[in-house]
Amino acid sequence: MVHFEEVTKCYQHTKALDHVTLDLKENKIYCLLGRNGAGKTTLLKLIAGHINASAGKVEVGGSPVSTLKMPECVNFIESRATQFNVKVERLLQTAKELDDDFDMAFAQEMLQKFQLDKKKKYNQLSFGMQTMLTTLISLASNSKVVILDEPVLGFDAIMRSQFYELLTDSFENHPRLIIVSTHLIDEIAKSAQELIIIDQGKILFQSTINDVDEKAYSITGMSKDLTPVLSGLHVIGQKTIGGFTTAYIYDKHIEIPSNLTTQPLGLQEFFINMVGGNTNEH
Amino acid sequence: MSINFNKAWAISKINFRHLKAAYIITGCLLLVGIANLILIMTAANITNGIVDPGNYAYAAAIFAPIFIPAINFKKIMHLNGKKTDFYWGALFNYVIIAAVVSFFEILLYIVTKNTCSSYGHVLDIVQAFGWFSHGIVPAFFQQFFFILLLEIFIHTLTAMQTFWFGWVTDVALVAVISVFTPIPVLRSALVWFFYMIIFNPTVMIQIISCIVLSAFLYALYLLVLKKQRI
Repeated sequence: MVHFEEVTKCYQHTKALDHVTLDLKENKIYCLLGRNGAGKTTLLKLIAGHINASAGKVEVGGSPVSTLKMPECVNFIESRATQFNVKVERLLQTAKELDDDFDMAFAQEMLQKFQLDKKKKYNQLSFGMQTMLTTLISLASNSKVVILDEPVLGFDAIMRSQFYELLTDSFENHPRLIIVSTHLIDEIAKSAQELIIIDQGKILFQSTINDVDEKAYSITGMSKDLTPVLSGLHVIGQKTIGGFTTAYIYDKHIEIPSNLTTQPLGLQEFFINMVGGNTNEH
Repeated sequence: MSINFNKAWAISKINFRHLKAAYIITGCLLLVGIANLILIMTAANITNGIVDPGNYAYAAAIFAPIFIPAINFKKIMHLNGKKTDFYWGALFNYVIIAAVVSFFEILLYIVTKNTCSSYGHVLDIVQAFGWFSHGIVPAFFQQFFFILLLEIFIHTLTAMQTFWFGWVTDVALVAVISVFTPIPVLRSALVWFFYMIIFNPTVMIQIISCIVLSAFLYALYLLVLKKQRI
């Protein structure tokens, strides 16, 4: 559905994306992870045709994407986007006018569920509510590709939980390609099926969440006992404190000696290790 | 570039709904113009010139192409609008505004002339540009295409302002006017240009000049739109 081939995007002297090749399939929820400035938003904007690639090819549904060929089947509303200062219900109607696939019944239902006052003007809503509204507008679109950039920004814990419910409901009602960019890694794991990690403009990792659950783990023990065990394994990070080392692995599970302990790796720890944020020794 | 008529029209309607500032400014100017006219009539003052309130309708054609690309563009894009639909949608806006402004301008001029001409000479753009000399219908079209050109010029110039070349264009326009005016040879070029788009006695040449220039400017806007950030 979405295809990137050797895509590079430069902003003057900064490379936001560096020779990215990527394939995203339809009817899946992808979670896009990356540190600030890793190139997440650039990648999403390229899919939506908000910006042009400096080099390489971006295709959606087999057609090339550019700023003058923004794909009709992609819905992308940035969470911090400014909106017309009109009543919530009016904003939904405007969104419907612009999107043939907009599901007004779903949007109305969600307004009630999230207690969004449809008589309030957009600027009268709190920051979290504004984000919720833009997220809701995106999810009410039955476009083949829906992009959610930081959809839970400014949400409290309850709103976040409601959002993940909303995401799952929306996907079950209308399966399509949904890309969610977020920093709240473990929370999205319940809804997403595939994980993409981007760092310094490069795709560092792409696989299923199940794959990460199965293959990501840590082994802890005395450094001298651990070193021989690690040979041949894909070690993504290592931390040593007082002679004890924890090695973070992304590989098949192995039989380990009794003097070493193993633990499954949470998605957050996996991400931190993948982008090199948890390494004091390699 | 293909056109999705329904989407372009949807964007056009959204633009019309979000031009309140342009409507208020135009409405206020029209009210002031009409109030001034009433004052002249009630006081039975004989003046050198009465400004036709219809002239103020031009405010809509000046402010709409400022607000549409400067404010509405981003907000429409933020509701998942597409640039090509915006491109055509805005053009629909300008065609409709030009037609409405041209119609009301002429209507108000006729009303003002018939009711107030005894109090003084009625000053009106259509009259000043000599468009009435060909009759009302040609005058409507001459004015319509001139307003369309004006709108597209303002729209393109406004959209350019977020780029360095927009500022360069501003400086170049000021330079052209200030440098060309005092030098006779260059001034004649400037005169020729305005003669073509406004004062040309041949209706078709004036209209075609406006259409060609409008098409060129709007094609130029496509290059700006391509770069315009969302």
